[in-house]
Amino acid sequence: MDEVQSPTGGVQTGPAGSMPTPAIPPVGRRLGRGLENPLLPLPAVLAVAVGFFAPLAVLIVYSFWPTVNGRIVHDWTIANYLRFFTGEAYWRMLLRSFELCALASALTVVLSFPFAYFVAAKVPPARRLGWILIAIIPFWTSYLIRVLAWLNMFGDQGLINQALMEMGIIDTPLELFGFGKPAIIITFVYLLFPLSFLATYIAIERINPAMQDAAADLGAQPWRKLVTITLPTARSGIIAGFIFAFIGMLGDYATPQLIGGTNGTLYANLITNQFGYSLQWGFGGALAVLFLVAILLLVIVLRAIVGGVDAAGEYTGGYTHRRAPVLVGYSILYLIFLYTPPALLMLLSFNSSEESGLPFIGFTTRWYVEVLNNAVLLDALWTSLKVAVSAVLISAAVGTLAAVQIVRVRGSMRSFNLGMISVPLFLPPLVLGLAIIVGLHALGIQRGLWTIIAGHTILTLPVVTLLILVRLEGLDRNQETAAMDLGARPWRAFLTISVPQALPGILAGVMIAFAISLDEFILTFLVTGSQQTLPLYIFSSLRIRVTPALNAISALMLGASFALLTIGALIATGRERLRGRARTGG
Amino acid sequence: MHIDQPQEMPARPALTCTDLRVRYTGQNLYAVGSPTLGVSFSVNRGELFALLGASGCGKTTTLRIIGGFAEPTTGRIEIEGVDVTRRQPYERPTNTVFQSYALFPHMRVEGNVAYGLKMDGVPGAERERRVKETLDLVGLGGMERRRISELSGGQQQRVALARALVKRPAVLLLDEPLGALDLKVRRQMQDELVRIKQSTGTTLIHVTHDQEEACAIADRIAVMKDGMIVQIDTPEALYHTPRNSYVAGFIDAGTIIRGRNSRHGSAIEVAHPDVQLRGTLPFYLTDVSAIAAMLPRNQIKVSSLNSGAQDGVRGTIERLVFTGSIFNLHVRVGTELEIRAAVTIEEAARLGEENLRPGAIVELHWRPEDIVFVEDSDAAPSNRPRAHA
Repeated sequence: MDEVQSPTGGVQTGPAGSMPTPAIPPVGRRLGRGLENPLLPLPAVLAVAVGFFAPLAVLIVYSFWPTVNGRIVHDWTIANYLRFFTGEAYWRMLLRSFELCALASALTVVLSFPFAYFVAAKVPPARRLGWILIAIIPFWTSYLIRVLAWLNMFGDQGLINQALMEMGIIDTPLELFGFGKPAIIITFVYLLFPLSFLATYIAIERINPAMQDAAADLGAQPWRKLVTITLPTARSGIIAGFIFAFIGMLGDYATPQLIGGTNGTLYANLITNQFGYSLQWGFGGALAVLFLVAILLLVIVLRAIVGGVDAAGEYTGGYTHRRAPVLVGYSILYLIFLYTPPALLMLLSFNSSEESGLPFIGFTTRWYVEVLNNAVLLDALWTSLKVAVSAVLISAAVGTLAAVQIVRVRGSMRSFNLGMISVPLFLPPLVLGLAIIVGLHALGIQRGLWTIIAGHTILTLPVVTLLILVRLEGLDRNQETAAMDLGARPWRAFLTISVPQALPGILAGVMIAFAISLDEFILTFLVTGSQQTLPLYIFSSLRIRVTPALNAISALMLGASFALLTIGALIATGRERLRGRARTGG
Repeated sequence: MHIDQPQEMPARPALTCTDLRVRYTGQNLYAVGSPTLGVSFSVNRGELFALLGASGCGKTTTLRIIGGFAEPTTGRIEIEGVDVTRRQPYERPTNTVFQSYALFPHMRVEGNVAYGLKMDGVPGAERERRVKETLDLVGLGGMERRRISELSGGQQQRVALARALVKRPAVLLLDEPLGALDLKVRRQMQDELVRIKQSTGTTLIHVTHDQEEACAIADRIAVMKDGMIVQIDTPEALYHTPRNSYVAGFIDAGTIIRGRNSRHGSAIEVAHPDVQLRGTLPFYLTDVSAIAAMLPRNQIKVSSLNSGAQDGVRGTIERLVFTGSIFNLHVRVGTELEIRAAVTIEEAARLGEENLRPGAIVELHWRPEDIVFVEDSDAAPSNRPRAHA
């Protein structure tokens, strides 16, 4: 019997497993060795180390080397940094970008808070998942296409100005809805909403509802309850949402330019330009390092202001139904805001007009036919599929291996492995892309299809690993112990007991990773050789103008990723949902 | 349904609940009340009133209605004579000690206790004085600056109590507040609650599923089942005259024996295959069709076979539980009946060790007047008089 009890006991309490048991040899360790093998997470950790940290180190080294006649010279100097601080245009650009991103992120957080609060506090637990899915699915659909949807909305000829003029509210197009700063901010609020929604939602849902009751019981009116209880306890989540949104926006060099034209040249453009036609690798490296330092400083400062995280209690699932008509109205409006641009885009893809936009002349499917006959586009799609399948297969294999071991151990090794694998999730793809091209440059290796696959693998690895890990963590470890008690060896127990139950998590991870890879632009644009993926094709076409055919491609891609993500999310949460129903029903 | 007997009641009760019903939307089940009858009771000023019942009996829902966290489908709640049924929690003179305490983790002890006073706009100096006073009252003097995470379970419980008490509520609501504490701390807190009730004159409503706890501290207890109050009485009265077999079983006053009923006027016999119980049926049970008998644990005399006592019921000791002050005996009588009897230490000494061990055969005696007849609620689960048999 000791053999059965010790593996879990030893694993879960960590140090307790090494307690002196002189008479009995440490059977727990021997039994669990197959699955607790510290080498299992190694491929994943190495992938991140070789694919991200090593190139990042090269990037830092480069930032201390000067560029002479377009060639990097191995000669230590801080000239690149001096150039940044003495050239007013550079640091002004950084400040300007910070300001714009901070404004857009703050707006995102403020606007998404009521919606997150509604879903977390006012929607019955059994129905929350539906709301969450509706709110975050747009986030996982193609980034570029969501930008394209807004391109249709803005400008003198854009849908907003046209509609307002049509209704007779205004006579001349409003500059607010032209291609300028406000348009950039609106687009980013739109693009980043799901991130801050999710972060805020999780924080609010964790607040013990009894705390809200307690505040009301002690005489707090609803708005005082919000200020004294809800906001302070949810503040770390709210700040996390802000940081995620901020970093996401700051690392985006495509959207501001597409929407804002020359107004949209931000710090991220400044960086990428150094690696493009300017060929100022050293200076570009310095700009990228400063970019990371600035983000790091911001996070540290915000953390210091907000303070540590209070234990707001475990998620209790407690819920009292209360009407909230204002919040319901607001949330519905937000969903309309969220879904109108893609819906309009789909509508426009059926417009027989030669120009993308209103008026709607007649119904046609000819743009779809055109898309399906476009050889360049189909070629790009094929490239995208090759990249996605390879990257996802690699990251799923490597990620599963890592998750299997990480779920079984506690302590510093676990934190280290988990931290390493998660890093790409928290840093902008811009930095990863730059690091990869600098690393390849240093080694003198040509870019190609495989660099895209490598980059996508590193990007999707944390998503797959974490989703599988969450699944495995949710399983009762005693089941494996029971299987071993019945004679199964550790790997056998894992494969026959845990894997079937974790399968939805693995599948969902794979599907979401697939969608990410299919849509990735920021990194792909940097690391590609001559290959063109679908997002790259769309971007190059977008730069000329929005055509009805582009609308049709986008509608197809939206439909595909929507289906993929919905299925993935439903598979991943199917059991949870059933369990949730059973709980609230009982 | 038992209607509370008005004893020497003050002019106006602290709390009156009239005809409360809660039906969840889309469900036909009543969490509180029934289609025909709502829950009604009143609590006197300065009284400690317990709502006792198994989980899911509607006791917590009833408490939440009083606190204003749930709205009753029907009914009326008056506090000090004022109708508060439609008032929000923050507009009611009630305060709650929550089951999970629901302390605010981002505030210190003093911040938690001062919170309600701040909401009322109590000025700073007065606030500080009252916070200190209340913390002293619950035995947490000097802990003002502690973080919530630094406190033990018992201390957190005291902060929750202080936070509610400091507002001097007309009615203090306690939602199983001692459930998470270990036995020793729980006993301590029970004494504390009684002491605080006496020194402050606060009216308390205490929800619990622990009959021992309810009996130990409550002035009166309402036993709830399936959303209805089965009986409201003092703890002693619940022990001596439980209304039906459910209450008798829940209070754990003795052994419930079911059997064929036969009546002659007010004389009744409950005939179990192994034992016959005869006595006089109390007037309030004359209309009840199914009657069970209860043998109170502490009314049973246990004697050894050679004691010379007559007319006893013979049985074998199956189990012997020493609780510190008494022995609880499980005595097997016949094939399927197990009678429980309490034996004091003195009686145990008289019986002798050789007679007080598992397997020993003893004789049990009781007086007919000690038998408690109750309605058999398992035979009539709806708790309503059946059509005439």
